[in-house]
This record gives sequence, C-alpha cells and structure tokens, in this order.
Amino acid sequence: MSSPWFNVPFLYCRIRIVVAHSHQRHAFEGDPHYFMKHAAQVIITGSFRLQRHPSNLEVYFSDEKAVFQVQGGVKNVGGLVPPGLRHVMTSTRTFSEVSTPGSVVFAIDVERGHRARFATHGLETPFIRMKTHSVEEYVSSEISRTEQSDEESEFSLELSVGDWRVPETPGELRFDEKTDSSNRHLGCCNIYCPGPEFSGVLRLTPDMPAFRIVDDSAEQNPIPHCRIRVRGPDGREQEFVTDARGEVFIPRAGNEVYTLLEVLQDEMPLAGALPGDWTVESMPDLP
Amino acid sequence: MPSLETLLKDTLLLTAAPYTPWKEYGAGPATAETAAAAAPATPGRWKWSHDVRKPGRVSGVTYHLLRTPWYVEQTPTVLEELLWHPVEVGYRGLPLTLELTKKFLLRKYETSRGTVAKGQSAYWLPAELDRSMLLVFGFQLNLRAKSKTFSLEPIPLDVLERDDFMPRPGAKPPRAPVMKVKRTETGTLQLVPMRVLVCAEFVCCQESTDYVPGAQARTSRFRPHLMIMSNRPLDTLAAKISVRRPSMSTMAHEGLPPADDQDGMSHAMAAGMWSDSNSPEVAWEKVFTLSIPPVWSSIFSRVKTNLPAGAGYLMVSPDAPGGPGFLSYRWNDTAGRYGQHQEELMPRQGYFDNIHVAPPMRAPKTLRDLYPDAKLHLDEITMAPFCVHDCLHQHWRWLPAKEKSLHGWDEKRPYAVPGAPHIPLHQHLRVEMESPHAYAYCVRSDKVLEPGRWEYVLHEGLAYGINAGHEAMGKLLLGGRALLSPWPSEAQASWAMFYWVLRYSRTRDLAVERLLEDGAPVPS
Repeated sequence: MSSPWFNVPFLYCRIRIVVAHSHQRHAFEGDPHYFMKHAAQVIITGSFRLQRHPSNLEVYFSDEKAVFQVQGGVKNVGGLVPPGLRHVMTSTRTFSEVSTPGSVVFAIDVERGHRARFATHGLETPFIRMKTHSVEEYVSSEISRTEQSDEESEFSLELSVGDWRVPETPGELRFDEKTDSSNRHLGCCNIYCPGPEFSGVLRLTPDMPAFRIVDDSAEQNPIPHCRIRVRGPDGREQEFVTDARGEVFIPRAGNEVYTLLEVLQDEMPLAGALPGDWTVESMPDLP
Repeated sequence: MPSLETLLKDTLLLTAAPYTPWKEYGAGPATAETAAAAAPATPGRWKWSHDVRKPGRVSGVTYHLLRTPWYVEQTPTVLEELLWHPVEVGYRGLPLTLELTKKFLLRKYETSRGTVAKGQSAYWLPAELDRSMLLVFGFQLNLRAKSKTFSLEPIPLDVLERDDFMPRPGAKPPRAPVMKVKRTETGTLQLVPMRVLVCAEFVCCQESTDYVPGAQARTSRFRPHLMIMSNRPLDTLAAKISVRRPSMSTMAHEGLPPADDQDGMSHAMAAGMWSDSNSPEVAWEKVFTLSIPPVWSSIFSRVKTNLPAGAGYLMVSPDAPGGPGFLSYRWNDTAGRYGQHQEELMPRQGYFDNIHVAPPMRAPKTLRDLYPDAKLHLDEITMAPFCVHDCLHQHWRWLPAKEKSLHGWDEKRPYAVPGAPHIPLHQHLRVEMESPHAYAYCVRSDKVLEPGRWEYVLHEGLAYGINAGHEAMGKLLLGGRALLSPWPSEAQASWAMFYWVLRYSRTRDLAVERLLEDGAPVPS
C-alpha cells in the first residue's frame, strides 16, 4: 500500500463554503393572502493546517483545534396580508463569529482508489453563536402594534463529504456537490428550508500564500495574472503576479512583514476596480 | 449604503406593492429558482405577454374598455410590442453595451394590484396598479477576463444582499486599508468591479383623470420606464425604447364593426406630434368654456400629423436655452389670413411636447357624401386634444399647468416645475418614427452620472385614452357646435366633426388649417 499522500507531513488548507438559498411560498395552506419567505446566506471560511498521523490503513490528517469564521444571516418572513390587514412576522438571525475550536478530519483510503472523507466534526463539533431579532407587526384599521424581541443561541457546524475521489498526486482538491456525497446540516435554518446548497474549495499547498486577490462575491473567485506592488521587510518595493488561483507566494522567514501597496490597474479588466474588504488569516507556527 | 432590497423600494412597483413576490434568475450560489412570481390573481383591464427568454420585449398589450356612449365594450390592442433596447454606457472611455437578456436577468416581480397613496412618494404619482411587472438586470465587469480585454458578467446574487452593494449618492470611495502580513499570515484583498443595475418596469395603472389638465379626460397610464444605477461614475448613457402600435386599429367605434363604412374611424394608425402653447392666456381651465373652444391655434404652438417613418426630432435638451423660439402661423378668421407668432419656449424645450398614435376619425357618411371634395379632409380627421378613441398618448412636457402631476423635473425630482420637460435635466430626448405607427424614444446623457443615484428613462410614462367626463364632454360639444354652425345639423352631434372644427376653419368649401403644420409653406 503506497501513495505519495503518505509522504505529506502537513497540508495547508483553505476552505470556503458558501451556503446560499432562498425560498418563498405564496397563497399556501389554503389562504391566498398567506406568504412566507426564507433566505440564507452563510459564508464559512477556515484556514488550517492538517497534520498526518501514523496509520497503515489510510492516510489520516486532522486538526483538533480548527476554527471557522462564519458570517451571514438567515431571514424568515411570513404572515397574512389580506386587504386591510397586515400581520407579518420577521425573524433575522445574524452571525459574524469565530466558531469554538473543533475537529477537522481528512482521510484517504488509498486501497479504494483514493476515496476520501472530510468532516468538520469529530472529537469536537464547532459551534457558532447567533443573535435572533424578531419583529411582529400587526396593522389593521383598528389596531397597529409592533413587538420586537432578541435572543442569543448557538448552532453546530456539521459538514461532511464522503466517498470523495481525490487524485493520487497531492494537489488542489475541490468539492463537487453533484458527484461527491455530502452530508450537511445547518442548524440555523428553519423547517421550511429546502436544504442548503453549498460550494467550496479545499486548496492544499506546500506553504501558505502571502496574498490572495479575489473578487467580492461570496465565492471569492480568484483573480489570476493580477499585478501587485509589495513592499518587503527591507523597504524595497517589488512587483508580483498572482497565479491561476489568485495567490502570491513569497518565501518568508522570521518576523518579516510584507505590505501590499496596490493592485496595478493600468489596463483592463482591472482598470477602475476598487479595493474592497481586506482580511488576514493566521496560522500558528509549526510545533 | 444600500442593498438591492433597499434600492428596489424606489421602484414604482415595489412602492405600490412592497410584498410582491419575485422569481430569481441569474448565476451564483443560489441558482435554485424560488417560487414563481404570483400569477395575477385579479383579472385586470390590462393584458400583455412577456417571455423571460426575451426579457427586453413586452408584446400583445391590450386594454379592456367598458361600454361608453361612443363605443361598445371591447378589448383593443394598445401595443403590438414594446422593446427595451440595450443600454449603452461609457465608463472610463470604454463603451459598454448592456443587453437586457436572460443572462443578466436577476429577478422578475409581477403583481396585479398595488397602491401608491397620495403623498407617499415624490417620484411616483398616486395610482392603483393593474397587472404590472418589474425586471431587474445586473451587469459587472468581469475581473477575470483575459488581460487587456473586457467583458460583462451578471452580478453574483450574493452581492445583491450586501449593505454596500451600491454606494450612497455623494459618498466618497472608501480609503484603501493598510495591508500588511506576517510570516504566518495570508492577506486577502477583495476587488469590487464596476457594476450597473438596470430595472425595467412595465407598470399598468387603473384609469384616472390626472393625465390631462383639469382632470377632464380619463386615461389609463402605463409606465415602461428604465431605472439605471452604477457603483462608479458613468461618463455617458444612452437608452432607447421602441413603442409599436399595430398598423390597424382594432377598435370598433359607435357600436359598429371595424372597417364598416358607417364606422367612425379610418382604422389605419397614424402618428402626430404637438407642442402646447406656453401662453398664459391659454390656461387649460379656460378651454372648457362655451366661449373658447380648444381650437388648435389657441392651445397648440406647433403640430405635425401623419408622421412618416424616418422622421425624428430633438424634443428635450439641456442645451436648449428657452426664450424666443420658433415661428408659428395661426389662421385669423376675421382677417382671412395667417398671422405670425413667435413662441416663447421654456428652458430645455425642444421641437414637440408629445406624440399621439391613433386612428384618424371620419365624418358621418351623410356628410362625406354631401361633401366629397378631398380638400375638406372629412375622411381623415386627427383627434386632438383629449382623444379617447384608441389613442396612445405620450407627453414629455405640458404647458405650464397648475396640477403638480403635469409639472416637469427640477435638478432632483419630477413634478416640480410648471411647463418644464418631464425628463431629468441632463437628458437629451430624441423621438424617431420607426413606421407611421411606431416610434423610438431615445435618451442620451453626456453628463457624468453620479454613483448610487437612479437615472430614470421615460419616467413620464404613457397613457391610453379611455373616456371623458360627461360634464367636459357637454361643454366641449357645445363649444364646438357653435363653430359647426355652417355645417348640416348631423355634424353637430359628431365627435369626428368636433375634432375637425378644432383643427380647421371652413372658408367657402376649403378647409383652412387653424395652425399651419410645421414646415408647411405659408400661403401668401
């Protein structure tokens, strides 16, 4: 039993999962004035380092203290709006949180044609706090009443992908929901939710990139061949070009600091693009 | 900074019906189509077809007319089709064509009811909605296009929900953050592309009396406007909307079937353009009196009928200074000759103020038999003003009237300045005839358009003539009857002859134009 995967001590992983769906129903339960809308937009990102553990049966990587950034919200609106009356209940769940530390497991069964499984839960399940703001509005010719309430709770992040065929040579891995069996549960949705759809990428690299240039969609599509100007720790400015995944790798050591000065926008298609959000992910040093 | 949801509250449809469901289109993580937009639950008077595979087109627009003293209950065709052509914008010297295709369609809202209450909106007049729809298109520059090239892609759906989807008007672009990383860190910078949002509304309203001065005629408005917003300054903008009526009217007049010789209409559609007189002596409240019938020479300053394909005019322009303008020639019955008059124009006022596409009427058969001379024009009588027989109206300017609904734009909003054009201050409007029964409404702006601010195209909308108030009708006919005294008595009960006499003066057996058509030689 051999595979190049057995020679990989660490995997630098970037995961970005977008859970997005919307659903609405009108004139149901026999009432033409009844309506319900449900929309979820949740982005789960994580950057972690998986360590290989000795095993003869499979290539087994894990990180028991991975944390995830979870941002987004879920909105539920429902009510009755016949002529002359409006009775609408709106609940908005929002979260912009770092999860509690949890397990990430990635294991490859090389005997079964490099079938892998990936899970964001194992010994510990990550939990995310959420705030729920509820508004109940009742307006008729006689009464006009609005009541609001807030509560805090938490939901678990349990995502798994099984029977996932991965290449024999270590490299970038992508989820493909259509072909890889997946099991996901998002405890923040409601009973009417038709089930979240998600898309994601798990990129495995020999090192971690210094910079990533992406668009501002939830997918964070990488912008390849993008020229950037960077100031190094010695004060010298240098130009780099992003790779096909929008990433720039710079060999770094010690406490060096690199500064992204600008994205060069002297020609299409980047001319006129504005810098948006800037985020930094950090990873603890190797033990 | 607003999300799409917030921005769309500015549209007419969602002002009137904020809980309207939508159907979602477009690419992105949420590709699943949500529940279908509600089919109109209440059958309205307006009907039309729309196919999302060709979203820039509305076809087969009809209106269900109830019976009046002048026609039976029927459903004539108002428009054969309405087309929203691609919107052209200029961005940093780059010409971009925004095709209103399914690829870029994000949402479709449809409703059959809604209300804009009085005082609810500065942008939309009070209205009760009939069947209506709103289409939302989103375009962005593809940042992943090949180097030195550009292409457009749909705006990802998830971006629409963000609070910073579009900037607030006047807001400065956010300052770039300090972007530093240490050895154990990865820094991610998101780039925001240039985006344009285009809303195409086809909002049909129930009948009202606010389309003409003095509330003397009943019309049903329909508003096929565009609302355009970008997150970057746009150098230029051009939009074109084609309004196409059928070549033949399907309306049966005076209870008789079309094409019958007794029918009071000629059925072949024709288009005419008019300018209102700005003279304060011609306030429209004076029109509905016995002493001053609304003859063309008193209420209009310029006219052109039977417009051929290819005719086109600049109707509104920020370059038009106003002041002393064109010369008009008005017939003076007493002197028996034309008098010359220089029209005082309002700023931005161009060639004409309105267009009407309608079938001409015909004089009663007994009169046509009695007066067969074609020079009397009894076979083809253009309806104006207050045409209510299968007439499509569009006014982009009204004379200085007292009703706010007839006022034009100031720097910020509509319904603000009496006598001003009904389009935003920086827009040039040109109307071009595509055929004798169809025209293109073409708008362009060369002024830099501010990010985060709606640009309205064809905000003024159109109207379909329905009816006239009985009181108004009585006064009109009485006023016209005096002028028809040289004619046999049946002329005095004829709508067609009423329109005839507003346009012509009868001198012996000649019809003399009361207001000489634009470009016609002045008789010596």
